[in-house]
Amino acid sequence: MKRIVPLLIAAMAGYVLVASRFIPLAEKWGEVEAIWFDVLAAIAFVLGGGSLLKLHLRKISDRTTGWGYSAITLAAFLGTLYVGVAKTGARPSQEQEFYGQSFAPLTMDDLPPSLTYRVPGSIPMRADGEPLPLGVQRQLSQGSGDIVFRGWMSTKQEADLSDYKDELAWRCTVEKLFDTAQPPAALKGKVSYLADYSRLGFRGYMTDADHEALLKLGSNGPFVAAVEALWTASRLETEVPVEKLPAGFSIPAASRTYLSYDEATHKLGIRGPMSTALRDELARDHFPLVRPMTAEQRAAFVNNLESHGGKLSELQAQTLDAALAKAWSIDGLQFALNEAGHAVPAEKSACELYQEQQSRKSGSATAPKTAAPKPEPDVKLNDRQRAAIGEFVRERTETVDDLAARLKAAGPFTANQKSALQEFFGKVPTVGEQKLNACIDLLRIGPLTREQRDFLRNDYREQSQWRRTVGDLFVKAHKVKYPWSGQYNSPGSWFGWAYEYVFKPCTATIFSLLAFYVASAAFRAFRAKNVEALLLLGTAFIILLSQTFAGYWLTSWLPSDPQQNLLAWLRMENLKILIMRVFTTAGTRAIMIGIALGIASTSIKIMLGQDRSYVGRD
Amino acid sequence: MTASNDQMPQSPSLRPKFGWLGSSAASPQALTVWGRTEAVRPQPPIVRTATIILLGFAMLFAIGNRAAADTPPSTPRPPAEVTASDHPWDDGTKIDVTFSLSPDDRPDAAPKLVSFYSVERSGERDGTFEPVGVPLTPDKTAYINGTLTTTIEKCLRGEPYFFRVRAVSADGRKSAPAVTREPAVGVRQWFDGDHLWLALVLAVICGSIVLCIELARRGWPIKIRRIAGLDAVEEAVGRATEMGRSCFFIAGVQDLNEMQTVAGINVLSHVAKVAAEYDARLEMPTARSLVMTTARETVQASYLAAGRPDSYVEDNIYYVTDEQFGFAAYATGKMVREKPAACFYMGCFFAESLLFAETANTVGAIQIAGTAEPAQLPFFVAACDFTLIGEEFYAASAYLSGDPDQLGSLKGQDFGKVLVACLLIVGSLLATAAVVTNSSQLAEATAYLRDAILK
Repeated sequence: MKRIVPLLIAAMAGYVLVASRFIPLAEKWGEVEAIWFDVLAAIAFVLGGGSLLKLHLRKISDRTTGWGYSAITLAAFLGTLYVGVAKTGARPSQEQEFYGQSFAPLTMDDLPPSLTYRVPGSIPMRADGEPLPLGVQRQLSQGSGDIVFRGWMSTKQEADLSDYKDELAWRCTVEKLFDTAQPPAALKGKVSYLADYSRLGFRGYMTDADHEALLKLGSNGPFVAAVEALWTASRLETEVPVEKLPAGFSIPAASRTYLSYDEATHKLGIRGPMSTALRDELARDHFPLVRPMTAEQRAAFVNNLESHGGKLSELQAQTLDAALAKAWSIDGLQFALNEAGHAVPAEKSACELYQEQQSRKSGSATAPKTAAPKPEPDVKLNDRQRAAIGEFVRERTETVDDLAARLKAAGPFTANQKSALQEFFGKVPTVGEQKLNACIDLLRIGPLTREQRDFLRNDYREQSQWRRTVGDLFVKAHKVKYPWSGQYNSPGSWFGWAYEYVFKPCTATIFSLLAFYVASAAFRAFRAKNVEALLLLGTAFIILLSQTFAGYWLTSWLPSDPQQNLLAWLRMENLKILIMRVFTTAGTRAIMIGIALGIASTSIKIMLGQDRSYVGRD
Repeated sequence: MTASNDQMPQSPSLRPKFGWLGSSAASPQALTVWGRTEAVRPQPPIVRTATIILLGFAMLFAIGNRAAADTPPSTPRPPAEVTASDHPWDDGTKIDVTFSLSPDDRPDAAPKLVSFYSVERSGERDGTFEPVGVPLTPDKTAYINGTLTTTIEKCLRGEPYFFRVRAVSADGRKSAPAVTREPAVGVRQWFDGDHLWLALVLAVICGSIVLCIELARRGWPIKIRRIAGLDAVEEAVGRATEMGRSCFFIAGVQDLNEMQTVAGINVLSHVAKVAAEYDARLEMPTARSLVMTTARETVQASYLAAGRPDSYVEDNIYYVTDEQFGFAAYATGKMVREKPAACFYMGCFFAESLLFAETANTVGAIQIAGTAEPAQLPFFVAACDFTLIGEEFYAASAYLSGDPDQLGSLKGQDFGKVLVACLLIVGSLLATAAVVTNSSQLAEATAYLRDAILK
C-alpha cells in the first residue's frame, strides 16, 4: 500500500494534466492540481524546516567540526523567519488603508432595515454557471420577486454587476438598484459600507448634521454604536508643530471646519483623518507655480544668479536659459481649456435604452423615443478670458483659484474647463522645483558658488519643509486599519533590508565566482587533444575573438554584405552569426527533440506504472 | 471610361441614367470634331435638332461626371449577409462570424472605398452592440470566395449572441450594419480541436512506446547502445567505498513538478542501491523540501531492496534552502570540507552547474552529470567525467534497471525520432520549394505544417 498509493497519485495527476490539455471540460482540473501541488509543497516545507533545525541543532549539540556555521545558519533562519512572518517594519498596504476614512465594525446582520434596498426583478442565471461577481455576492440576494441589496452600492459594484449579463433588461435593473442603494443626499460621498471588511466607513470630518443624518438611518444597538465610534474617530484632534509657515498661508475656506492653525503655539491641527487629496493640496497650494518668462525676465534671472557669486560660463548661461524657458505656454493652456469646453454628448442610460428596445418590440409607431440628454453647446474662451490668462502670467501674484474665478466672471466657463485648469496646473512645477532642477542642470556642467546654490535651492527647501510638516500631520491623523496588510519584503521592512543589503550581496558574490570557474573549465576543455577538441577550440576562438574589437578590426578589410559576396561570411561578426544561428541552433534543436521524446517516454512509463524507481522498485 | 466606371458604385443612381450613351458618342472630343464639321458644311434641320439634343445629353453627362468626381466618396454599402455559428471543437467561448463582402469592396478598386470591416456583438438582437475583435481586412482568398470569416473569442459559453458587421471607409465612415438573423450560442465540445495534431503526434509516439514495451515483454530482442556515464556509476560508487569517502547526489534545484527532478530521483534509486550494496555513504542535500521527502522514501526503498535497511540514514538526505546560490554555497562548501569521492548531478540546473562541477573537480571527485538544460550541458561536458545529454538522462533509469519493459520504451522513442525526421525532411523540402517556385500554396502548406501541426 505504501508504494501503490504514490503510484496511483502520480498516475492520476498525469492523466488529469493530459486531460486538461485536450478536454475543455477538464481545463480547470490542471489549475486545481497545481494548487494542490502548492499546498503539498507548503506542508513539505515545514518538514524541510524541521529537518534543517534538527540537523544543525545536532551539530551544535555534538560540537562537530564547523558547528559555529550551524549556529549562524540557525540564528539567520530563525531571525529571518520571525521578521518575515511578523512583517516587522513593513508598512500597511496602501490599498487596504482607505486614507481619509474612519472605520467602525458593523456586520451585515447588524445593518438597519433602512439599508436594505429592493427592486423588482430576479437575478438571472448565466448559461456557463458562473456565479455573481465576488464583490457583490455577500450583499446581493433574491427575495420574494425582488432583488435585494444590503448596504450602499459602489460604482465598481454596479459595473461588475452590469457586466454579469449582456441584456438591457438586466442592466436596467442594476441601474435602478444602484440608484436606489445610495445613502441619503446629505451623506452621499461621505459614508460607505464595506461588506467584505464588515466595516461602516465615513470620509473625513463628521459634522453634527452628518451625525444626526446617520443616526436617522437606524436605531439598532450595533448600528448606533458603530455610528458613535465613527463620530469619535472622525473628530479626533491631531496637531503637529510648524517650523515655518509658507508665505501668505491661510487655511482654505472649505477646510476651516476641521483644519486650523494656532498662531500662539505654531501648531497645525486637523480634526479627523486627512485624505490624500487634501494632503497634496495643502502641501503645494501655497507655493507659486512656474509661469512663462520673457527673454528679459530670463536674462534678469541669470543676472540675479550671477550677483550671488561668480559669472556663469557660456554653457551654464545657455543651460539656465533653456531651463527657465521650459515652462508651459499661454497657447497650451488656451488649447486645453478650449478642448475641455467641447460638449460631450451624454450617453443614454441602460433604462432609457431598454425603454427604446421595448417600444420597438411593441411595434407601436407612436412609442416615444428616449432621446439622449441634450449636450451643452461648445464653449470657447472669449477675448476677455484670454486677456485674463495673459494678466495671470504677467502679474505673477494670482493663484489658480483666482484665475478660475476671473475666467468665470469674464464669460462662460464650464465645470469641465475648471477641472482641465486644475489638471493643467497640477502638472506645472513650482518655482522652487524649477530652480532646484536648474541648479542640478547647472552643477552637471560646471561649479556654482555656495551662495548661488543656496539662491537656487532655498525656495525648494522651504517647500520641502512644509511638505514634511503636512506629511507628519497626515500620518499622525491616520489610524492604521490593517497593520499586517503590507508585503513582508516591502521597502523599509526588516526583511526587505536584510534581503537587499545582506542576502543579495552574498548571492552576487557566489554568482561572481562563476567567472573564475568558467576560465578554469575553459582551460581544460580547450586543450587540443584530438580532432574534436581542436574543432571545439577553433570555434571557441572565433566566438571569443568576434566578441572583441580586435575581431572586427582583423577582418574589416573583407566585404561586409554576405548577400553580395560570399567572402563576407569570413568576417568575424558574420562568422559568429553563422556559427550561432546555424550550427549551434541545429545542435540545440537536436538535443531538444531528444529531450521532448525522453519526457514523453518517462511520463508514459510513470503513468502506466512501468517505472517505479521513485518509489523504490528495482 | 474606366475611371467613370470606378465612380459608378459610389453613385449607383448614375449608372442606369447614362449607361446607354456609350463612350465614343458621349466624349467631348467627338462632339467637338462633330461641331467643327457642322461649321463647314450646313446640315438639314432634322440633323441640327438631333445635334442639339445630343449636345444637351453630352453636356448633362459631362456635368454628371464632373459632379461625381467632385462629390466626396459616399458611405460604403453594408455586407449583404452575416451569419454566426459556434466555433467547432472548442470550450464554447468562441463564435465564428461569416459575412459576404460589401459590394463596394473590390481588390482592384483604387482608391478602395472599404478600408476594413468592424464586427460588433450584443446579447440581444436589438440590444447595445459593442465592437469586438480587431478591424478585419480581406485577404486574397476572401476576395475569391466573396466572404470573410472571423472567430470572436471571449464569448460566454451558452449565452446567445447577435453580431453585426459594418464596412468602414478609410476616412471612418461606416456602412449601415448587417445583422445576424439568429443568435449564435457557444457550445463546449468534449475535445479541443486546436490540439488535434498534438494529440495525434502524441498518440503515435506514446502508442509506439507502449507497443515496444509489449513486444519487449514477449521477448523481442532489444539492443541498447552502451552509455558510458551510466556504466561508470558502479565504478564511481566503488571508488568512494575504497577511498572511505562519501558520494554526493544532487537532484537539481527545481521541485518535483519538474520532469528532470523526477528523472533524477529515478536515477537516485539505482545509485542508492549500488551505494547500499557497497556500503558507501550517500549524502544528498536538496533545494526543495518536497524533493527531500521523496528522496528519503526512494533511498530507503533502495536500501531495503539491497538487503541493507539498517544502513539507511535518514539524516543524510536533508533540506538546505530554496535559494539557488545559497544552495550552491552550501553544497560547494560541503564538497571542499568533506571531499566526496563521487558526485552525481542529475536534474535541472542553471548557473550553479559549473560551481558544483568545478569545485568537485578541485577536490578530485569523479563526476557524473545528467541534465536536460541545453544551456548547462557545455559546462557539465567541460568539467565532469561523464555527462548524460538530454535524452540519455531520461533513458538512464530504464538503462540502469535493465528491465525489458523499460528498455522497450527506449526503443519506442525511436519511432518518434523517425516521425520527427520525416517531418523535418518534408518541412525543409516544402520551405525550399516555396521559396524557389514562389508558390503561395506551398508557402501556405509550410505555414500550416509549422503553425498548425507543429504548434
